[in-house]
Amino acid sequence: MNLKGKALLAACAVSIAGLSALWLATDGGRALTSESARRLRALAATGAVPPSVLEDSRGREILLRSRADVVTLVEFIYTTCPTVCQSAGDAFFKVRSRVLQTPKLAQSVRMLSISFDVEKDGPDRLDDYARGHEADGQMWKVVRARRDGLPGLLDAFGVVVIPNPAYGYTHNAAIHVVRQDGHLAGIYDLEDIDGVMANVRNLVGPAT
Amino acid sequence: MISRIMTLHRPWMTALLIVMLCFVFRGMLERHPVTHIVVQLSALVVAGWLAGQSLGGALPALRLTDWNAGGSVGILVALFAGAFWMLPRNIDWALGQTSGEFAKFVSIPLLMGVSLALSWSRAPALAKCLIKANAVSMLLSLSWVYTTAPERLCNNYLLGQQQELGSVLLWLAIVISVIWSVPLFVSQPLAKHRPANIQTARGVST
Repeated sequence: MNLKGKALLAACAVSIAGLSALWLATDGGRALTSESARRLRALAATGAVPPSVLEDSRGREILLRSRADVVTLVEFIYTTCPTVCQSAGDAFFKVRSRVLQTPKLAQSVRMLSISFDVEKDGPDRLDDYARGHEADGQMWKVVRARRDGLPGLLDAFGVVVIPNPAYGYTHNAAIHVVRQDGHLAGIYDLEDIDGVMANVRNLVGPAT
Repeated sequence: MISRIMTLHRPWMTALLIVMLCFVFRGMLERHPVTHIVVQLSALVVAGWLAGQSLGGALPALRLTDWNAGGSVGILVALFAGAFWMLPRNIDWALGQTSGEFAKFVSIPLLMGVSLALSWSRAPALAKCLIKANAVSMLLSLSWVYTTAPERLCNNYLLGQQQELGSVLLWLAIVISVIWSVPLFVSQPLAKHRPANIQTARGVST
Protein backbone atom coordinates (compact mmCIF):
# COMPACT_ATOMS: atom_id res chain seq x y z
CA MET A 1 0.00 0.00 0.00
CA ASN A 2 1.05 3.49 -0.74
CA LEU A 3 1.09 4.95 2.76
CA LYS A 4 2.31 8.48 3.12
CA GLY A 5 1.97 11.41 5.48
CA LYS A 6 -1.39 11.60 7.23
CA ALA A 7 -2.49 8.12 6.20
CA LEU A 8 0.70 6.61 7.60
CA LEU A 9 0.18 8.52 10.84
CA ALA A 10 -3.46 7.37 11.03
CA ALA A 11 -2.47 3.77 10.27
CA CYS A 12 0.08 3.85 13.12
CA ALA A 13 -2.46 5.36 15.51
CA VAL A 14 -5.09 2.77 14.57
CA SER A 15 -2.57 -0.06 14.93
CA ILE A 16 -1.51 1.11 18.37
CA ALA A 17 -5.13 1.58 19.48
CA GLY A 18 -6.14 -1.78 17.99
CA LEU A 19 -3.28 -3.70 19.53
CA SER A 20 -3.86 -2.07 22.91
CA ALA A 21 -7.56 -2.94 22.73
CA LEU A 22 -6.72 -6.57 21.94
CA TRP A 23 -4.07 -6.59 24.67
CA LEU A 24 -6.57 -5.31 27.23
CA ALA A 25 -9.34 -7.57 25.97
CA THR A 26 -7.18 -10.66 26.43
CA ASP A 27 -5.55 -9.72 29.76
CA GLY A 28 -2.25 -9.23 28.00
CA GLY A 29 -2.65 -12.18 25.66
CA ARG A 30 -3.27 -14.57 28.55
CA ALA A 31 -6.99 -15.22 28.27
CA LEU A 32 -8.79 -15.71 24.96
CA THR A 33 -11.83 -17.41 26.48
CA SER A 34 -14.05 -16.29 29.34
CA GLU A 35 -13.15 -19.50 31.17
CA SER A 36 -9.45 -18.64 31.25
CA ALA A 37 -10.34 -15.03 32.11
CA ARG A 38 -12.38 -16.24 35.07
CA ARG A 39 -9.45 -18.31 36.29
CA LEU A 40 -7.06 -15.39 35.92
CA ARG A 41 -9.43 -13.16 37.88
CA ALA A 42 -9.59 -15.79 40.60
CA LEU A 43 -5.81 -15.78 40.85
CA ALA A 44 -5.88 -12.01 41.26
CA ALA A 45 -8.32 -12.62 44.16
CA THR A 46 -10.04 -9.31 43.70
CA GLY A 47 -13.39 -9.95 45.36
CA ALA A 48 -14.88 -12.06 48.11
CA VAL A 49 -17.59 -14.57 47.25
CA PRO A 50 -20.98 -13.67 48.73
CA PRO A 51 -21.93 -15.08 52.16
CA SER A 52 -24.55 -17.31 50.52
CA VAL A 53 -26.94 -19.45 52.50
CA LEU A 54 -27.18 -23.00 51.20
CA GLU A 55 -29.16 -25.94 52.50
CA ASP A 56 -28.36 -29.59 53.02
CA SER A 57 -30.56 -32.60 52.47
CA ARG A 58 -32.34 -32.05 55.79
CA GLY A 59 -33.11 -28.42 55.01
CA ARG A 60 -30.52 -27.11 57.46
CA GLU A 61 -28.80 -23.85 56.65
CA ILE A 62 -25.22 -24.20 55.53
CA LEU A 63 -23.16 -21.07 55.01
CA LEU A 64 -20.81 -20.80 52.07
CA ARG A 65 -18.41 -18.92 54.34
CA SER A 66 -18.87 -20.43 57.77
CA ARG A 67 -15.57 -19.95 59.57
CA ALA A 68 -12.74 -17.54 58.96
CA ASP A 69 -10.06 -20.16 59.54
CA VAL A 70 -10.89 -22.75 56.91
CA VAL A 71 -10.22 -23.04 53.22
CA THR A 72 -13.38 -24.00 51.36
CA LEU A 73 -13.31 -26.05 48.18
CA VAL A 74 -16.39 -25.61 46.02
CA GLU A 75 -17.80 -27.56 43.11
CA PHE A 76 -21.01 -26.81 41.27
CA ILE A 77 -23.08 -29.83 40.30
CA TYR A 78 -26.54 -31.14 39.63
CA THR A 79 -27.06 -34.64 40.93
CA THR A 80 -28.67 -36.16 37.83
CA CYS A 81 -25.70 -35.13 35.70
CA PRO A 82 -24.44 -38.26 33.94
CA THR A 83 -20.97 -37.01 33.10
CA VAL A 84 -18.94 -34.14 34.42
CA CYS A 85 -20.58 -33.88 37.88
CA GLN A 86 -19.73 -37.52 38.53
CA SER A 87 -16.12 -36.71 37.64
CA ALA A 88 -16.41 -33.74 39.97
CA GLY A 89 -17.46 -36.09 42.75
CA ASP A 90 -14.56 -38.41 41.96
CA ALA A 91 -12.18 -35.46 41.98
CA PHE A 92 -13.45 -34.33 45.39
CA PHE A 93 -13.08 -37.90 46.65
CA LYS A 94 -9.41 -37.84 45.60
CA VAL A 95 -8.86 -34.41 47.10
CA ARG A 96 -10.35 -35.55 50.40
CA SER A 97 -8.11 -38.62 50.54
CA ARG A 98 -5.10 -36.38 50.03
CA VAL A 99 -6.31 -33.83 52.60
CA LEU A 100 -6.88 -36.51 55.23
CA GLN A 101 -3.26 -37.61 54.99
CA THR A 102 -2.22 -34.45 56.84
CA PRO A 103 -3.95 -33.74 60.18
CA LYS A 104 -3.50 -30.00 59.89
CA LEU A 105 -5.12 -29.94 56.47
CA ALA A 106 -7.96 -32.14 57.68
CA GLN A 107 -8.83 -29.49 60.28
CA SER A 108 -8.51 -26.53 57.95
CA VAL A 109 -10.35 -27.64 54.83
CA ARG A 110 -14.04 -28.09 54.11
CA MET A 111 -15.61 -29.10 50.85
CA LEU A 112 -18.98 -28.18 49.36
CA SER A 113 -20.66 -29.79 46.37
CA ILE A 114 -23.30 -27.21 45.57
CA SER A 115 -26.24 -28.15 43.37
CA PHE A 116 -27.61 -25.39 41.17
CA ASP A 117 -30.60 -27.51 40.16
CA VAL A 118 -32.76 -26.06 42.92
CA GLU A 119 -35.96 -27.45 41.41
CA LYS A 120 -35.10 -31.09 41.04
CA ASP A 121 -32.39 -31.74 43.59
CA GLY A 122 -34.45 -32.51 46.65
CA PRO A 123 -33.17 -34.18 49.84
CA ASP A 124 -33.22 -37.70 48.36
CA ARG A 125 -31.12 -36.79 45.40
CA LEU A 126 -28.59 -34.86 47.47
CA ASP A 127 -28.30 -37.89 49.77
CA ASP A 128 -27.89 -40.23 46.81
CA TYR A 129 -25.11 -38.13 45.39
CA ALA A 130 -23.41 -37.90 48.80
CA ARG A 131 -23.65 -41.66 49.28
CA GLY A 132 -22.47 -42.39 45.75
CA HIS A 133 -19.33 -40.35 46.27
CA GLU A 134 -18.88 -41.10 49.97
CA ALA A 135 -19.28 -37.52 51.11
CA ASP A 136 -19.34 -37.69 54.91
CA GLY A 137 -21.65 -34.72 55.52
CA GLN A 138 -19.09 -33.17 57.90
CA MET A 139 -15.96 -32.20 56.11
CA TRP A 140 -17.57 -32.69 52.71
CA LYS A 141 -21.18 -31.61 52.39
CA VAL A 142 -23.50 -32.02 49.42
CA VAL A 143 -25.88 -29.05 49.47
CA ARG A 144 -28.08 -27.06 47.17
CA ALA A 145 -28.31 -23.36 46.53
CA ARG A 146 -31.41 -21.39 47.44
CA ARG A 147 -33.41 -20.10 44.56
CA ASP A 148 -33.09 -16.41 45.46
CA GLY A 149 -29.36 -16.56 46.05
CA LEU A 150 -28.52 -18.72 43.03
CA PRO A 151 -27.89 -16.07 40.35
CA GLY A 152 -25.59 -14.05 42.62
CA LEU A 153 -23.76 -17.18 43.69
CA LEU A 154 -23.12 -18.42 40.14
CA ASP A 155 -22.15 -14.94 39.08
CA ALA A 156 -19.60 -14.55 41.87
CA PHE A 157 -17.90 -17.76 40.80
CA GLY A 158 -18.29 -17.03 37.08
CA VAL A 159 -20.23 -20.24 36.51
CA VAL A 160 -22.55 -20.29 33.50
CA VAL A 161 -25.26 -22.95 33.43
CA ILE A 162 -27.10 -23.59 30.18
CA PRO A 163 -29.82 -26.17 29.51
CA ASN A 164 -28.67 -29.03 27.34
CA PRO A 165 -31.35 -30.59 25.16
CA ALA A 166 -29.73 -34.03 25.37
CA TYR A 167 -29.63 -34.14 29.19
CA GLY A 168 -30.00 -31.62 32.01
CA TYR A 169 -27.44 -28.86 31.84
CA THR A 170 -24.01 -27.93 30.59
CA HIS A 171 -21.83 -25.88 32.90
CA ASN A 172 -18.20 -25.02 33.41
CA ALA A 173 -17.01 -27.58 35.94
CA ALA A 174 -13.99 -26.91 38.09
CA ILE A 175 -12.69 -27.00 41.64
CA HIS A 176 -12.87 -23.54 43.20
CA VAL A 177 -10.55 -22.78 46.08
CA VAL A 178 -11.97 -20.14 48.45
CA ARG A 179 -9.48 -18.56 50.80
CA GLN A 180 -10.09 -18.20 54.55
CA ASP A 181 -11.19 -14.58 54.04
CA GLY A 182 -13.70 -15.54 51.33
CA HIS A 183 -11.69 -14.54 48.28
CA LEU A 184 -11.38 -16.93 45.37
CA ALA A 185 -7.81 -18.15 45.38
CA GLY A 186 -7.82 -20.41 42.35
CA ILE A 187 -9.92 -22.38 39.88
CA TYR A 188 -8.67 -25.77 38.75
CA ASP A 189 -9.61 -28.41 36.22
CA LEU A 190 -11.09 -31.53 37.76
CA GLU A 191 -7.94 -33.46 36.80
CA ASP A 192 -5.62 -30.97 38.46
CA ILE A 193 -5.70 -32.40 41.99
CA ASP A 194 -2.02 -31.47 42.44
CA GLY A 195 -2.80 -27.84 41.66
CA VAL A 196 -5.63 -27.79 44.21
CA MET A 197 -3.46 -29.40 46.88
CA ALA A 198 -0.56 -27.04 46.30
CA ASN A 199 -2.86 -24.04 46.64
CA VAL A 200 -4.53 -25.43 49.77
CA ARG A 201 -1.17 -26.23 51.43
CA ASN A 202 -0.01 -22.75 50.62
CA LEU A 203 -3.12 -21.19 52.19
CA VAL A 204 -3.13 -23.37 55.30
CA GLY A 205 0.57 -22.94 55.94
CA PRO A 206 3.26 -25.44 56.85
CA ALA A 207 2.27 -28.49 58.86
CA THR A 208 3.97 -28.30 62.21
CA MET B 1 -31.51 16.52 -6.11
CA ILE B 2 -34.44 15.19 -4.07
CA SER B 3 -34.50 11.98 -6.05
CA ARG B 4 -30.80 11.63 -5.38
CA ILE B 5 -31.40 11.91 -1.64
CA MET B 6 -34.24 9.38 -1.92
CA THR B 7 -32.04 6.84 -3.64
CA LEU B 8 -29.31 7.51 -1.10
CA HIS B 9 -31.74 6.90 1.70
CA ARG B 10 -32.81 3.48 0.57
CA PRO B 11 -29.67 1.60 1.72
CA TRP B 12 -29.89 3.56 4.97
CA MET B 13 -33.37 2.28 5.63
CA THR B 14 -32.33 -1.26 4.77
CA ALA B 15 -29.38 -0.95 7.16
CA LEU B 16 -31.62 0.29 9.97
CA LEU B 17 -34.10 -2.47 9.27
CA ILE B 18 -31.36 -5.12 9.43
CA VAL B 19 -30.00 -3.78 12.73
CA MET B 20 -33.51 -3.65 14.17
CA LEU B 21 -34.29 -7.19 13.05
CA CYS B 22 -30.98 -8.38 14.54
CA PHE B 23 -31.90 -6.65 17.78
CA VAL B 24 -35.53 -7.74 18.00
CA PHE B 25 -34.73 -11.36 17.21
CA ARG B 26 -31.50 -11.40 19.21
CA GLY B 27 -32.81 -13.99 21.68
CA MET B 28 -33.55 -16.41 18.89
CA LEU B 29 -30.39 -15.66 16.90
CA GLU B 30 -28.06 -15.81 19.87
CA ARG B 31 -29.32 -19.15 21.08
CA HIS B 32 -27.06 -21.00 18.65
CA PRO B 33 -23.52 -19.92 17.70
CA VAL B 34 -24.22 -20.50 13.98
CA THR B 35 -27.11 -18.04 13.89
CA HIS B 36 -25.28 -15.70 16.26
CA ILE B 37 -21.96 -15.51 14.46
CA VAL B 38 -22.72 -16.45 10.88
CA VAL B 39 -26.14 -14.80 10.60
CA GLN B 40 -26.36 -11.97 13.14
CA LEU B 41 -22.79 -10.71 13.13
CA SER B 42 -22.56 -10.90 9.32
CA ALA B 43 -25.88 -9.10 9.01
CA LEU B 44 -24.56 -6.32 11.26
CA VAL B 45 -21.51 -5.95 9.02
CA VAL B 46 -23.76 -5.83 5.95
CA ALA B 47 -25.97 -3.21 7.62
CA GLY B 48 -22.91 -1.10 8.34
CA TRP B 49 -21.69 -1.59 4.79
CA LEU B 50 -25.02 -0.37 3.34
CA ALA B 51 -25.09 2.63 5.66
CA GLY B 52 -21.47 3.38 4.76
CA GLN B 53 -22.28 3.22 1.05
CA SER B 54 -24.99 5.84 1.33
CA LEU B 55 -22.95 7.93 3.77
CA GLY B 56 -20.01 7.91 1.39
CA GLY B 57 -22.32 8.87 -1.46
CA ALA B 58 -23.96 11.70 0.44
CA LEU B 59 -20.84 13.03 2.13
CA PRO B 60 -17.80 12.14 0.02
CA ALA B 61 -15.65 14.03 2.57
CA LEU B 62 -16.19 11.07 4.93
CA ARG B 63 -13.95 9.01 2.71
CA LEU B 64 -11.06 11.07 4.13
CA THR B 65 -8.95 10.80 1.02
CA ASP B 66 -5.86 12.12 2.82
CA TRP B 67 -6.15 10.45 6.25
CA ASN B 68 -7.53 7.27 4.73
CA ALA B 69 -5.57 7.19 1.48
CA GLY B 70 -6.13 3.96 -0.41
CA GLY B 71 -8.63 2.94 2.25
CA SER B 72 -5.80 1.50 4.31
CA VAL B 73 -6.78 2.98 7.65
CA GLY B 74 -10.45 2.07 7.36
CA ILE B 75 -9.51 -1.49 6.48
CA LEU B 76 -7.15 -1.66 9.47
CA VAL B 77 -9.95 -0.50 11.77
CA ALA B 78 -12.21 -3.22 10.38
CA LEU B 79 -9.51 -5.88 10.79
CA PHE B 80 -8.90 -4.97 14.43
CA ALA B 81 -12.61 -4.90 15.19
CA GLY B 82 -12.90 -8.29 13.49
CA ALA B 83 -10.06 -9.69 15.57
CA PHE B 84 -11.70 -8.38 18.75
CA TRP B 85 -15.03 -10.07 18.01
CA MET B 86 -13.30 -13.28 16.98
CA LEU B 87 -12.24 -13.85 20.59
CA PRO B 88 -14.59 -16.30 22.30
CA ARG B 89 -14.59 -14.34 25.56
CA ASN B 90 -15.98 -11.28 23.80
CA ILE B 91 -18.80 -13.39 22.43
CA ASP B 92 -19.50 -14.43 26.03
CA TRP B 93 -19.34 -10.76 26.99
CA ALA B 94 -21.98 -9.92 24.37
CA LEU B 95 -24.17 -12.77 25.60
CA GLY B 96 -23.79 -12.19 29.31
CA GLN B 97 -23.77 -8.46 29.77
CA THR B 98 -25.77 -5.55 28.42
CA SER B 99 -22.58 -3.56 27.90
CA GLY B 100 -21.22 -6.32 25.69
CA GLU B 101 -24.42 -6.57 23.67
CA PHE B 102 -24.42 -2.79 23.23
CA ALA B 103 -20.76 -2.76 22.20
CA LYS B 104 -21.47 -5.46 19.65
CA PHE B 105 -24.45 -3.71 18.07
CA VAL B 106 -22.54 -0.43 17.81
CA SER B 107 -19.00 -1.48 16.98
CA ILE B 108 -19.64 -4.15 14.36
CA PRO B 109 -21.77 -2.01 12.01
CA LEU B 110 -19.63 1.10 12.53
CA LEU B 111 -16.08 -0.20 12.80
CA MET B 112 -16.44 -3.10 10.38
CA GLY B 113 -19.30 -2.29 7.97
CA VAL B 114 -19.09 1.48 7.61
CA SER B 115 -15.31 1.70 7.56
CA LEU B 116 -15.05 -1.10 4.98
CA ALA B 117 -17.68 0.59 2.79
CA LEU B 118 -15.76 3.87 2.92
CA SER B 119 -12.44 2.21 2.20
CA TRP B 120 -12.65 -1.06 0.33
CA SER B 121 -13.23 0.26 -3.22
CA ARG B 122 -10.08 2.37 -2.98
CA ALA B 123 -7.78 -0.37 -1.73
CA PRO B 124 -5.08 -1.53 -4.14
CA ALA B 125 -5.98 -4.77 -5.92
CA LEU B 126 -3.07 -6.61 -4.32
CA ALA B 127 -4.18 -5.62 -0.81
CA LYS B 128 -7.70 -6.80 -1.58
CA CYS B 129 -6.43 -10.16 -2.77
CA LEU B 130 -4.25 -10.52 0.32
CA ILE B 131 -7.15 -9.74 2.66
CA LYS B 132 -9.52 -12.07 0.83
CA ALA B 133 -7.00 -14.93 0.89
CA ASN B 134 -6.40 -14.36 4.59
CA ALA B 135 -10.12 -14.20 5.30
CA VAL B 136 -10.59 -17.64 3.75
CA SER B 137 -7.67 -19.15 5.64
CA MET B 138 -8.87 -17.53 8.88
CA LEU B 139 -12.30 -19.08 8.37
CA LEU B 140 -10.63 -22.44 7.79
CA SER B 141 -8.48 -22.22 10.91
CA LEU B 142 -11.46 -21.12 13.03
CA SER B 143 -13.41 -24.02 11.58
CA TRP B 144 -10.60 -26.38 12.52
CA VAL B 145 -10.39 -25.00 16.07
CA TYR B 146 -14.13 -25.23 16.64
CA THR B 147 -14.52 -28.72 15.23
CA THR B 148 -11.56 -30.20 17.12
CA ALA B 149 -11.33 -28.29 20.42
CA PRO B 150 -12.07 -30.75 23.24
CA GLU B 151 -13.35 -27.95 25.48
CA ARG B 152 -16.04 -25.37 25.13
CA LEU B 153 -14.56 -22.03 24.10
CA CYS B 154 -17.71 -20.06 24.91
CA ASN B 155 -19.27 -20.73 28.29
CA ASN B 156 -22.65 -19.94 26.78
CA TYR B 157 -22.63 -22.62 24.10
CA LEU B 158 -22.53 -26.40 24.10
CA LEU B 159 -19.64 -28.40 22.71
CA GLY B 160 -21.90 -29.85 19.99
CA GLN B 161 -23.02 -26.38 18.94
CA GLN B 162 -19.40 -25.27 18.77
CA GLN B 163 -18.63 -28.17 16.45
CA GLU B 164 -21.65 -27.30 14.29
CA LEU B 165 -20.31 -23.77 14.00
CA GLY B 166 -16.98 -25.27 12.93
CA SER B 167 -18.54 -27.24 10.09
CA VAL B 168 -20.66 -24.30 8.96
CA LEU B 169 -17.51 -22.14 8.84
CA LEU B 170 -15.84 -24.80 6.71
CA TRP B 171 -18.71 -24.66 4.20
CA LEU B 172 -18.67 -20.90 4.33
CA ALA B 173 -14.96 -20.89 3.52
CA ILE B 174 -15.55 -23.21 0.57
CA VAL B 175 -18.44 -21.17 -0.80
CA ILE B 176 -16.60 -17.86 -0.39
CA SER B 177 -13.44 -19.13 -2.00
CA VAL B 178 -15.45 -20.43 -4.96
CA ILE B 179 -17.28 -17.12 -5.31
CA TRP B 180 -14.03 -15.17 -5.11
CA SER B 181 -11.93 -17.39 -7.32
CA VAL B 182 -14.31 -18.28 -10.14
CA PRO B 183 -14.28 -14.76 -11.66
CA LEU B 184 -10.48 -15.01 -11.90
CA PHE B 185 -10.87 -17.86 -14.37
CA VAL B 186 -13.76 -16.39 -16.30
CA SER B 187 -12.32 -13.57 -18.32
CA GLN B 188 -15.54 -12.02 -19.64
CA PRO B 189 -17.01 -10.42 -16.50
CA LEU B 190 -13.59 -9.26 -15.37
CA ALA B 191 -12.96 -7.43 -18.63
CA LYS B 192 -16.38 -5.85 -18.46
CA HIS B 193 -15.81 -4.44 -14.99
CA ARG B 194 -12.22 -3.39 -15.32
CA PRO B 195 -12.66 0.12 -16.81
CA ALA B 196 -15.22 1.12 -14.20
CA ASN B 197 -13.01 -0.08 -11.36
CA ILE B 198 -9.99 1.76 -12.56
CA GLN B 199 -11.99 4.91 -12.96
CA THR B 200 -13.41 4.93 -9.46
CA ALA B 201 -10.07 4.04 -7.96
CA ARG B 202 -8.43 6.90 -9.81
CA GLY B 203 -11.25 9.33 -9.13
CA VAL B 204 -11.23 8.87 -5.39
CA SER B 205 -7.83 7.92 -4.14
CA THR B 206 -5.78 10.71 -5.68
